[in-house]
Amino acid sequence: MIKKLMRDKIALITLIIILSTMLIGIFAEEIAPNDPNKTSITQKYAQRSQEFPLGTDHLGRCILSRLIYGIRPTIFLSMFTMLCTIILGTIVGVTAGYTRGIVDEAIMRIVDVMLSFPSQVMILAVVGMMGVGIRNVIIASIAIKWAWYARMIRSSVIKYNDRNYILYSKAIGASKGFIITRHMLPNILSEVIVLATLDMGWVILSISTLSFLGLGVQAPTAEWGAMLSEAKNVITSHPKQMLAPGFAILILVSSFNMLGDSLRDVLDPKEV
Amino acid sequence: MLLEVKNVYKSYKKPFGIIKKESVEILKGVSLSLKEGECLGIIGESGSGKSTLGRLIIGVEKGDCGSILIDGIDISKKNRKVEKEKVSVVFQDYGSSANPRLKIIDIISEPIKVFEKLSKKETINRIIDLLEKVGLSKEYLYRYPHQLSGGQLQRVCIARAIATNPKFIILDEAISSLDVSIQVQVLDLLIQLKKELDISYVFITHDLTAVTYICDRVVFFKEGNIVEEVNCMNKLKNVKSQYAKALLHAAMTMDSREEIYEVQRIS
Repeated sequence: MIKKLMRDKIALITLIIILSTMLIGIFAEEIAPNDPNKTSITQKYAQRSQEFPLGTDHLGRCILSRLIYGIRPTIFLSMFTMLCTIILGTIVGVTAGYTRGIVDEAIMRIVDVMLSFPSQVMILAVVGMMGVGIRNVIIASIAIKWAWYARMIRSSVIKYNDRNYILYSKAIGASKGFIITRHMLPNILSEVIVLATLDMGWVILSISTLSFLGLGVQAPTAEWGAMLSEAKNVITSHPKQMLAPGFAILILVSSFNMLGDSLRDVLDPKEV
Repeated sequence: MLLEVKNVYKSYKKPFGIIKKESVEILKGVSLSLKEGECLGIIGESGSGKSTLGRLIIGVEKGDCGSILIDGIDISKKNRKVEKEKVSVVFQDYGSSANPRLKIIDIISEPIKVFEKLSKKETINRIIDLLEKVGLSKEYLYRYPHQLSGGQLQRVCIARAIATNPKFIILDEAISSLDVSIQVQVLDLLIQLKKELDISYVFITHDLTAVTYICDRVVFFKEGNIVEEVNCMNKLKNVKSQYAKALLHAAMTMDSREEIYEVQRIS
């Protein structure tokens, strides 16, 4: 499988971009040239220089350092959100698909209710109710997204439940746990991983959007969406301020989307 | 008696309108039996309920009433791991019979893992042994199902089926989706395994020629009922029921047509 991934150039490039971004985020303290929160009014809107490789923002803070520190909330919080969503969705979906009957009906009606809300509006509502802050944004994102995954996983479980190899396992009396872990999950998760990488972009944008609106990550913490939001105020006088965080989001989100595309091919066992 | 099916009924609920459900009877009081070392053919057209009967016997589904006894023990009883070991199954669609994500070695080791506690090395030796029995070399161990041909994959499925040392195997259209030449090879393999391992078969099919090739006894299945039972293959021509006659007639005309084609091709 890793071999197949290596042969796919796009997958390899996107994977390198994502992994190196994550590494830079982890070692932000060592790599960042300046303190991301150190303001200096005399240096505001500075041009590129030895000291500030990407210049400074409206408070004279180093943009590159803020970008590097901003990786943490951007990537790691999105990954955490995705992980929780998948785990919750898988548990609910497998339960519904495997038990069928009344349990299934009950779960699916709840899912229907969740799916009938437009997601951004729902997040705004949750944040409005529970208060501003990144924690509530994450809770809201999970609450909105799990239903999509539960529904998809349920339909895959039902699809695979009629496959002959699962009938065979049932016929020889293999335990439910054995069937689920050995036959169901590998098949389902490979489908889910593709969707999850594609959705990763959505979550990054969603967290950035809400930070942009001032509902997510709060100042002065560095976050790409929040940086865009600050840059927007001076879009006429200093348009260059938008470039750094804008490109960072663009590259990362499209990397995740392209990785999702390639993973679909790589994870298909029939693809040689 | 190895297997006894007594008066089994089974119906499925089909949605009828929005809320109403219509119940469709698939099996209407089926009784049959299988002796040790015997091959029983169940022949019938599509939708006659023969595969449903197979599913009931392997215990994937439950009948509405009636009982299925394996070695005299009712399979609807709770503690039936011992009974599960006695029965195995090979399906028609070899493509979905094996998990496409697993290697051949993992596919065959599944029943061994469920029933026996063997060390890793013993398991591998056992699997190589099983592969040899079905006429495959051990180079196939680490291949994936899609790298094998249909006949080879069906052999793997047979190897998996005999891995538990079952008393009898349900062959649910096991050869129907293979080429005719491969069909004969697989049938020969089944006959050979039957002699070697002393297994019985329940051979579910719609192919009368295959039945005459391998079975000792045949039941004709139509619309969820057994319409006729033939206990001796030589007397196959003396069937009485309308359906069995029609089936036999169809098969025979096809044979004679094939002969005509043969003659034409030669001349």
